[in-house]
Amino acid sequence: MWTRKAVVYVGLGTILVLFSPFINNLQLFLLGTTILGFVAIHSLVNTRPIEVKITRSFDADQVFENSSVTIDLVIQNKGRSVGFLEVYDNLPSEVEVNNGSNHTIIKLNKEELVVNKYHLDCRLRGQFRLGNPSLRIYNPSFLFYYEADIESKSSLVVLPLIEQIEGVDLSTDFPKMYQGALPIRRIGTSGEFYGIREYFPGDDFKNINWRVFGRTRKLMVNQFEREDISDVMLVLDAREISGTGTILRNPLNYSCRAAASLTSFFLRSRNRVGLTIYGETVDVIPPDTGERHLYRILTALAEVKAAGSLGLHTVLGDLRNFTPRSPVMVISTLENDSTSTNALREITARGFKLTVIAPDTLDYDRDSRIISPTVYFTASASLDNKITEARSLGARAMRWDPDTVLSTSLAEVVR
Amino acid sequence: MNTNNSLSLMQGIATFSLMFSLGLAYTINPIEDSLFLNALDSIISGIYGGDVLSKLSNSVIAGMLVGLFTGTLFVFLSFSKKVYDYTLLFIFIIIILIFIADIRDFEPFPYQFTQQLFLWLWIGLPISIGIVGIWKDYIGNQIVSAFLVLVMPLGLSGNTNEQIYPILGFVFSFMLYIELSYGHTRYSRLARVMYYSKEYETVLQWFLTTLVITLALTTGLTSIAFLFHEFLSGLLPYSFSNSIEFNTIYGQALSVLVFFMIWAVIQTLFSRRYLARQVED
Repeated sequence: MWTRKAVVYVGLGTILVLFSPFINNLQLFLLGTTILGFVAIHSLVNTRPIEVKITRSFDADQVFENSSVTIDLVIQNKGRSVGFLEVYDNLPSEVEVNNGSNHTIIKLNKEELVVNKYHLDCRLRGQFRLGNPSLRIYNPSFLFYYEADIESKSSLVVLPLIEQIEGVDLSTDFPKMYQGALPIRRIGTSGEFYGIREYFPGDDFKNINWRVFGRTRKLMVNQFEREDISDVMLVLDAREISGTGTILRNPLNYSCRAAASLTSFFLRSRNRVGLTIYGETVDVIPPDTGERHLYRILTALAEVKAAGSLGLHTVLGDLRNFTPRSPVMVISTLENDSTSTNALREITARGFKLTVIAPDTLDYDRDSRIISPTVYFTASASLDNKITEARSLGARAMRWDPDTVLSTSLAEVVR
Repeated sequence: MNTNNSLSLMQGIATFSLMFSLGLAYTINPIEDSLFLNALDSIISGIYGGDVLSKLSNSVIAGMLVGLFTGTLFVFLSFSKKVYDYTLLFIFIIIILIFIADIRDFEPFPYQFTQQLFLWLWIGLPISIGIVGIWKDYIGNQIVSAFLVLVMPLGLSGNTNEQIYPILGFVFSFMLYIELSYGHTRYSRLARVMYYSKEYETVLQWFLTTLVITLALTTGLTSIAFLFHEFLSGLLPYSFSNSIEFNTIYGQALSVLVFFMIWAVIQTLFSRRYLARQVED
């Protein structure tokens, strides 16, 4: 394609050639001819089609939030040599280049191979599509250019960050016992040592740790892991309202992090974990165990987008198939959900051990002036009401400030 | 050579080319015949009712040196915004004071001095504007300066075939000025983006090498375009090729345009796969 400079040159050259005879000026005439000649010569320099192959490779196609990925953009020349080749790798707006650049200008000799290496900061969970790299060839004086896209799409999955949860008893008092059950790491009566605690009247004498008594003159009893298994169902609110806030700090992102952390925690302790996501539709991942299942859930969490306005009651149907008395953990702000009270009542009425985690980004939204103080006050009061309601139904409910560690917040509510 | 050195070299050569082109333009067109200067002379004569400019020195070299000085001074001053602002304010106050002094019939220094300075500043204007354009990467300044280099010395005398060498020198240095100053603006902008790139220097070297080669080829093509006039005279009927119109600069102009039209047609036919198709899109 012609650049504006080329058009100006041709126009100026023609005007000079046509105008100079009127004032009988050889200087302008020669200049006009030279300009036209210059454009004519340049139309032959670096304007022929090129044959370039571009491939993209990652050091990992799945990463966790807040980690970085190294991308190698391999540019291979299969045709003539190219003097000015501009390569721009089309990246999604959610990732950030932190070292190197996705934009490069190179000179490629025949059959030459150049690797452009750069690092991406993945600060937001999601499944991202890296588009086709764009090419632009300029001739040296910027008179002509040619643009093309090279077919080389790839995807990158950024999984939600997993926070280590330790020492929080979140499972049920009614473990699901059946043949072949795998032991989970909970305080119980198996042979595996868990920890020690103070002696209370009624404790079995054989569990007293006499060595500690000898050292401290205090009666302490040993605690052991309980071998049982339970199904845990996580319910994630992905309604449109959960995406309110900034692209990085919004309830949905924090809910996904909490869900990922809890999934990892429960699966590590050999429970079966299921996930129900509601928003635009209700998507259910049935309870299962194992590393593969963890990645299934993490991938689902990576893909969650805030959309729709289905209420919490829509998940009740799916919970019917879930093992009675098992823990159900609802991760939602319950904001603008008129069905939430009834739904929570029904969940507790069915005997599920309900925990409600409400990620609270209201303080941040107010400080960043995303919401006005009036809206903050109303939303905060409404959230408090929902939490109180849930607690009155016998649920463990908490407002979770995402700046605090999830374990700490959970420990307070589980006490 | 690293990228910064190459870019500085481009700026240096562009500055010299600008000075050469203006100097050669005044060699081809004597300053006394410059239409622009004559127009200025008429305006000043009309205002003051006397012949002012002809009493002053219209030395092109002095004008170019003043232009070089003011342009360079401006570039250095603009490194610090504060210094630049204060200097402009200072100059403005001086000019105002001179005017006030003139109104009150007080003459701090001979008026010939300020008039002479003004005339040299005027002659050197394309250089001072161009230097700012080259060293501060202002494309607008580069265009205005190029326009002034073409227009200011323009006269109705000179410009004959005897001056072909100064004319060729002018054309070459003018093209070099435009290409290097514009090229510097574009490539330095890209260099800022490509600060991490090790390959960028090779692109710059390629630009400089290609520019020299293409300018040489352009000279060849321009000569061929001129020879085409002779070739055409052999092809055309005698009555046409022997006409007065054909054998003057008008005929040459038409031959040159015909030559480039044929070039465009041939190139379009042979490059349908890329350049022509791109234009049609």
